[in-house]
Amino acid sequence: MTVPFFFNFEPFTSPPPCDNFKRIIEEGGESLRKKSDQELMKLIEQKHRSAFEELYDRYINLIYSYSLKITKGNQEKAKEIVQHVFLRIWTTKSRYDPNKGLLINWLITVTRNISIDFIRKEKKHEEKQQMMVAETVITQESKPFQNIHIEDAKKRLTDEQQRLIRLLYWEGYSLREIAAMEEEPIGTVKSRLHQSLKRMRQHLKTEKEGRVDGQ
Amino acid sequence: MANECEHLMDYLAGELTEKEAEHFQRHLSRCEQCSSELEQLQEAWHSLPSEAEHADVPPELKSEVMNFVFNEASAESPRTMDASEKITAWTHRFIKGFAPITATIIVLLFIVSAGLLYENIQLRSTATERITNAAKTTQLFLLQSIVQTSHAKGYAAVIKTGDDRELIVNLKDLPILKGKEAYQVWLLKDGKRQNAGTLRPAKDGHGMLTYRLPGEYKFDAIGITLEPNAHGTKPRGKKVIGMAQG
Ligand SMILES: [Zn+2]
Repeated sequence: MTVPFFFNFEPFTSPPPCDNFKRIIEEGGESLRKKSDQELMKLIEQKHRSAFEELYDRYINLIYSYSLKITKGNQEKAKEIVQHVFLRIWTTKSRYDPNKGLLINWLITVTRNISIDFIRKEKKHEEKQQMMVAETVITQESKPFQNIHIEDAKKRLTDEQQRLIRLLYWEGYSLREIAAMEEEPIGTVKSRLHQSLKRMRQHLKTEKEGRVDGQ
Repeated sequence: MANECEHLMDYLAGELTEKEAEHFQRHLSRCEQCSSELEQLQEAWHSLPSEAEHADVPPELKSEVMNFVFNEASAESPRTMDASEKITAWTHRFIKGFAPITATIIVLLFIVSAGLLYENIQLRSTATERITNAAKTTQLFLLQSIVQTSHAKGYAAVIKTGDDRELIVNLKDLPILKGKEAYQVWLLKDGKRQNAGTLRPAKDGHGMLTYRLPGEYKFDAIGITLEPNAHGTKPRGKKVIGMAQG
């Protein structure tokens, strides 16, 4: 439907050849939507803006939802994080490597790194924060989660195991800080986290298999 | 060995410096235990984001992000006084090359009326829904070479389809480029530049580019530079194509 308008140009320039019509229309729209994540990232590397916008459209829901959770529902902060995430994607030299996994995992890693930088900077401005936040974490009620399976898998963990994961993954505490809060050697904290994640994975796996069997 | 294995959790949590991480990656390639553990831990780790509830994305976020990225990205690199002086000088040169001209306006009017006529014909002959989707030319600039060595010419048009606006730059008789060189399109609004992408001509000297205009972004001038490669976020090469002079 965008083709006909080009006839408008006939009076003053010769119209570009037909495959060029097709090409520009495709580049601007439909065909980008059909590109794989990897193809999209290649184009972005070449500073292809429409590809960049396509990436935004594709993943903004996940990135924004993630940012909103990590900022405990603060919209303004979440938006700021999203802006920096996309700036990093546009300017970064450390590229997404498809051999190392899905693009979404890479994007989330970028988002988490930026979020944690934000959180840590903020924490520096607060006093006695460690104790206060630690208490909040303990008393904080878990919200209804979107993904039932991960929720189920997490329920199999002890409160203590869940808490460690939350402190590390969502609250932006470093392993060293957690060790200090727990008054435990860092090695102990690491091996507890290790066990917790492995246990979670085990449950995720059995559920997945269970679902496949059930079908 | 055992000592190195202890860094697995730090690596997973992203707590190693870049150098340490590279070091650990080398360890991973040698240590089967670690690489198999890491794979398992990552499965759980990458499932954690799905704890986040689905949130509705604020509709204004996209244009905020795009403006932030493109203004920020083009503001980056050399932050010296020198650079800003250069930018000012460049801007002056840019503006000077862009005096509006009657011919363009006449052609523009012609195009608009041709467009309307075309639409009228369409209106009579096809379903109304096609019309509401029809693309409209909302802005048009004639372009021509401003250097002696080339006779490049063409046009830039802003096409509106629904809420989307797209800039189309169409040029012919472009000199063929060497190596990684590229033509880069710049938009100018109130003295501020916006990068609108790069193009390389085909063998026949024909080059085209489309660029989705962010949000409500408007511009009043357009210029094209010859750049050493397609990766610049600000003009480094000289301006070679500008808006046509009467
Ligand atoms: Zn090892």
